Amino acid sequence: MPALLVLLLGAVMVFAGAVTVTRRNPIHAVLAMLVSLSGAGLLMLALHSHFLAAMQILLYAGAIMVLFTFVIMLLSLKESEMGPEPASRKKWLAAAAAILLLYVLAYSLSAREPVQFQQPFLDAEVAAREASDGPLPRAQQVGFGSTEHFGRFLYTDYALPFELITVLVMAAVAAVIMLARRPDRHSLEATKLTGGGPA
Amino acid sequence: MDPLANLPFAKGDVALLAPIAIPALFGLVALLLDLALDPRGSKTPLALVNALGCALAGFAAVVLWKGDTGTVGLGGAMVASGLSTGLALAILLGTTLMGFATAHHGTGAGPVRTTLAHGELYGLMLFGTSGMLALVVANDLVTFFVAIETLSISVYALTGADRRLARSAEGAMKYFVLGAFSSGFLLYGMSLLYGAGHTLRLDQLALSTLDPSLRPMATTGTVLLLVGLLFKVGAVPFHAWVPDAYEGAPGVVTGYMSVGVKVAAFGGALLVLEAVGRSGALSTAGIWGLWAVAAITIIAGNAGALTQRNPRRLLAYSGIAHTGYLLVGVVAMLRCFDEYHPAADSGDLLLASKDAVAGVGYYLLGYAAANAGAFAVLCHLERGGEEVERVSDLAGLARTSPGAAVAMTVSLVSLAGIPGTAGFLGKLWVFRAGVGTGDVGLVVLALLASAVSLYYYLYVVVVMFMHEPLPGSAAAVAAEPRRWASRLAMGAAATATVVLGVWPNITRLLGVDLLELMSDGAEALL
Repeated sequence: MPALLVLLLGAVMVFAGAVTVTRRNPIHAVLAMLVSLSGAGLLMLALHSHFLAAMQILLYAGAIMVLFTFVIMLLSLKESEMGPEPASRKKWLAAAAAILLLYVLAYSLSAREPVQFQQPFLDAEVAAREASDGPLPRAQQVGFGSTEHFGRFLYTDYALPFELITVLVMAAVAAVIMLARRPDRHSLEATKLTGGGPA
Repeated sequence: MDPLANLPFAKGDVALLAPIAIPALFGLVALLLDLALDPRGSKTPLALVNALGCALAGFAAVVLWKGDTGTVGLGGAMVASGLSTGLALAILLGTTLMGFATAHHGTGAGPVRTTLAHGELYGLMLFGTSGMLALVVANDLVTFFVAIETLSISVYALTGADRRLARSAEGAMKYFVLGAFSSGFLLYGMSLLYGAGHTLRLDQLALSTLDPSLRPMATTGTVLLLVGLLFKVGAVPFHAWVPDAYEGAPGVVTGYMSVGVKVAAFGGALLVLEAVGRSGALSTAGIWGLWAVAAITIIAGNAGALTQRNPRRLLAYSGIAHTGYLLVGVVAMLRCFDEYHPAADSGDLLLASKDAVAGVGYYLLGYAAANAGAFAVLCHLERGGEEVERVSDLAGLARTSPGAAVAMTVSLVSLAGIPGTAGFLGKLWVFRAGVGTGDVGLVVLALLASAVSLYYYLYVVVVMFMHEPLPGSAAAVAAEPRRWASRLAMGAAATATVVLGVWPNITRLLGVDLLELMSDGAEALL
């Protein structure tokens, strides 16, 4: 039953993805992407990752897509501003590359056993942990995919990347401030003071 | 109950984070300090904060990240060895020198004319450094990815730091869009590797024996991961962004990214490739694929550099060529995992592969010193926000500013790999390892290409020493004595280049033997 669900969701997501990259109207593309991202959320639900599924819907389908919509609305691109349609030869080349990639991926993924939807990878992780003789976190005792499970992993095993993300966000904030700053502020001030134009 | 009882790592392990945390903290200090500074004055206080942060982080790395077996810390999220310490020092050297080099940016005869926001510039350089240091100790694909993104976000923004110039924005945009695309490859590769290996930890992946039916999946994952990494180091055919980003970015940023991003990405690549190589996920065909990438990168980088007349573009193509030389070492490292190699299972092959790791580490150190030196000279010659745009602008520099000319010459000679400089020792080490693993053809190609590269490096030297200064060019305007910080950067870079090339053991006096560090790191990795 879960396999059927995954196939169905996969088909919807692939279709929505194709619509996303083929629409000329950016709003249509964004709406198709919304379907694709929601499908990913449902897929996570099927894999028993409730917390991740909720985050996927809230953050990607919710916040980020709203942001996309706002940007598109604020830019309000006209047909003439969107640039020419790419040459059809390029399109065929891109399609050929995509089909080749599809073939490689299908080949490399086809050999494996079907995914175990009930206990995704948990057994292997626990076994590896026991083999490595490290202290066992309580993560395996609580339900897989729950908020508690997620939180425990985030603040123990993934403490380093979690802390590093604070630096990443700080860098992003500083970057936005730098890039959004009005150019030539200092030069303008200097010009006013001396009365001369920039040489 | 002790709330920390459930932590999967010893509490003392938190100290291992110090080399990563210190630059980030000093980045915050730089952001705040800039508010208290005169916007029209020199930025030397920021450069000093930058240098202090880097020095403390370097000290912490030398003290904490030791161990010839590799210190696994934080529940396996990171692994530090001599190699990571050495690469961390190279990264920190680059950040320190570029910090000093840009301290007088925009100052000149008149009022300061610059559109660079220096507080954010130094802040982002230090935040990015934090990510670079995390990348060279990453033992977990999650840490690996977050570290790459931290350094990338900083560098994307820094590339567009000059808000006045369209080409700065263009370079940043190209770099950002292609970089985001390459991150997609990286992530897809990681998810396939996770699916095949059932672990995100590199040390566990290295130990896992992959089910033969899962090998194609792991190989595809590795190839996609490599695409993402090869993009970051600017290997052909993923190099299209390099010349535009290098030319568009302000000189200081180009210097910073040409050193830091390359050293960190190669450090991360060594860690990942060791794990996938050991697990058998990278087949013989994959190694030959990397061999081909190395060969094409060497040819394309050198061919592209021959016709460049913009010094930053010239150094961009030279950077691509150096990526190719470094890939020779990476291929040599991977040979010891090649089960079909004629000398497979022999001790000699393993020794040569270890040699390759140590060589790549030392090469990166020398490359960092030489490249930072070349860009420090370009920053030194910037006047009122105008950068040196043509090699011919350097004509007669030996007469007007002999110190800068000599520093530039030392850097270029080292990049060309002439004996007596760090570049020579690095090349010798890497190419010797390449011969040891049987990649003689690739090494011969690299040597021929190095000979070709002499033309475009020495052309710059000829222009500086033998041509008359052009009226109004950067070289014709006498260098201002007030620019002590960029003089310091040039001098330090040239000194480091020569010392690393002539007498590397002298670093023992500073409490750290760089040669030993690299060998220890190679021992810990392979």
